[in-house]
Amino acid sequence: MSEQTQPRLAVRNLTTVFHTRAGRFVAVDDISFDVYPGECLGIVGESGSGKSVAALSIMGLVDYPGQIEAGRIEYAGTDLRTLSENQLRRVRGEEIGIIFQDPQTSLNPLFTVGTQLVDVVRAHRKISKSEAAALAIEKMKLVGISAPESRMKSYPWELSGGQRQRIAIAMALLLGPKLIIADEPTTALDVSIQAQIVDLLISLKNELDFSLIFVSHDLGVIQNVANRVMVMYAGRMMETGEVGSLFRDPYHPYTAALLASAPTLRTNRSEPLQAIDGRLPSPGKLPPGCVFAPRCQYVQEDCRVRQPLLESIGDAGRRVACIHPLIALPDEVHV
Amino acid sequence: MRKVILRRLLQNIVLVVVIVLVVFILMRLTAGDPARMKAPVFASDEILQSYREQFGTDRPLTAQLWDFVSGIPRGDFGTSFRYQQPVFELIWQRVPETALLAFTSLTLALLVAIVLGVAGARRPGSAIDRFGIAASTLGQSAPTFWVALMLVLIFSVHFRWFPAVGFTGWKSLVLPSIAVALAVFPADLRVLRSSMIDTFHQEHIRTARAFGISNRRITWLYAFRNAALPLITVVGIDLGYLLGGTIVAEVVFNYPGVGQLAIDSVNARDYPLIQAITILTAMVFVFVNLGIDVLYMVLDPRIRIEA
Repeated sequence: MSEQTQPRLAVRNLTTVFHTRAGRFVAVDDISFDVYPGECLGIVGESGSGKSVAALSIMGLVDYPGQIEAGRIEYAGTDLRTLSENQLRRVRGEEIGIIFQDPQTSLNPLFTVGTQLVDVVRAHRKISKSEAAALAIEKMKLVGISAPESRMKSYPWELSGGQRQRIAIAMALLLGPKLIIADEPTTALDVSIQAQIVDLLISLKNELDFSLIFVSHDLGVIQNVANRVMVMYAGRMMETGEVGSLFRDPYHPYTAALLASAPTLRTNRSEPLQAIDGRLPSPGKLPPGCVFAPRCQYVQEDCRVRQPLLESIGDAGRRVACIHPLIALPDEVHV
Repeated sequence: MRKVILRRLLQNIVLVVVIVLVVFILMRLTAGDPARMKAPVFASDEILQSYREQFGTDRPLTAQLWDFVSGIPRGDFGTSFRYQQPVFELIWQRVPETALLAFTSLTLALLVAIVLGVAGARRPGSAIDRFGIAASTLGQSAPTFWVALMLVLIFSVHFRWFPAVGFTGWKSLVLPSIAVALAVFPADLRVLRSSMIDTFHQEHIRTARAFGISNRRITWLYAFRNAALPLITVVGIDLGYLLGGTIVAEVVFNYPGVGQLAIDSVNARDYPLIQAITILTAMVFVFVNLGIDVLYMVLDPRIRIEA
């Protein structure tokens, strides 16, 4: 990614909160990131880290009682937050496509695949049903669905999980969006299917040149798909950078712990996995300093008091929110 | 699907036969002699006996049952004790009025339930939602006869907009329909509202929004079709209230329908008439519910496949 290219999506200081009876919960806390043309940004974190809420916030899809409280979401120079509901409706599906986690529940059970795809096309283009159907069939072929003409007449629950997710991807591709948000698109699938779907997304991205935001808790998947990665914890961004260097040399203790806890094929199976002790803090009771401090094995006194800011450290594009990052700075010695 | 419908049809026929038998026996177990109801108060035993012979109520139960059952295939449901006319004719004359009343009441009830239920589900807790809930509480707690009397008092006696009694045209339909609809719509509204709220929270609705489908289309096509399934079940149950409600409304408004006839026939212990009305009502109830099951299969392809 050259420095000169304009980002396709620029999110600045995004803060999404949920107002419930028990209080105000900050699900996404002051997060900024860019997505450049043709790249894939991975968002990783545990369940409840705010990664999905961050992704859904981009399209204004956070449901009541959730609400975007602050920030700008600039897509092609326009702040999506300033658009009217009808203007936003035109962006959804047309400019930005989305793939949800579970295609079993994200497709309507009472309508055929064809009806749903055609409906999406006709919500944006004034074309006939048969023209819309032709477009749907074309995209179904693109995502590797065999006999797409007959699949058009199938109901979502008549298809296998993998086929359903391919339909969901075809739906995201229908109108040729420049940005696709994939919210845990492989989590609900069998492991064997997961790899196929990931490969499909990578090849489609390369072929069609859209930008991809890939939300997942699966580090292995992120490593395969993403160019850059953003690590979230308790609604905050912990670390971001190029995927290769970040996975090789994590500077944030949370990233390091996350990587250490993920099993790989090279993991020695006789040793127990390194789990991160403790639990994600509940959004209502965040610790005052660094949100990860209570679980951090490198924690020091000032971590519990001072909230670290995201700062550029080391290689290009790497930013870390840690007072004592895991990098040997010239005048400091770390454990 | 066809097999399921056929099976249900046979079950329903058996059900109607059982209902007919129960009514036949129940009528004869209850106190009251049709002959005494027909005859003057101090009539002699000879006169009573002659009536019993005329009605056939002096014969053994089995013989009466045989008379009744053997007549049905010929379309002969007996002769009314009170009116001395074939009961089929008596009922048939009045079916259009009652059907009209039931139909307008149900239409009105559904219209109100759908408008208020959907509007309320779109914005729970909003003014229109609270209005809908308050109106349904009122409708559920106010008895139909009282509502009917109040309507007469306000709109017939005070404003003189609508006739209070009888059937003289569409204006005669307005007040009875409102009275019946008010009792029927609350259940519809509550069920539709809650299933609509559930549906709005389903992920496929979020998908539709995420792909820029208009709110109106999401509400009325994507969500309503999902939420309509519980509603049509309730409409089947409504039918019971509807039949009961029309009887009350017909009596209060002196509306010339089957309900009136039913009340008169019970008071007169007019066995053939009661039996015929019961068969008719049971058949309507059972077959409308069969129709609802078919509608279910049409609306939800998953049920169609299982069937």
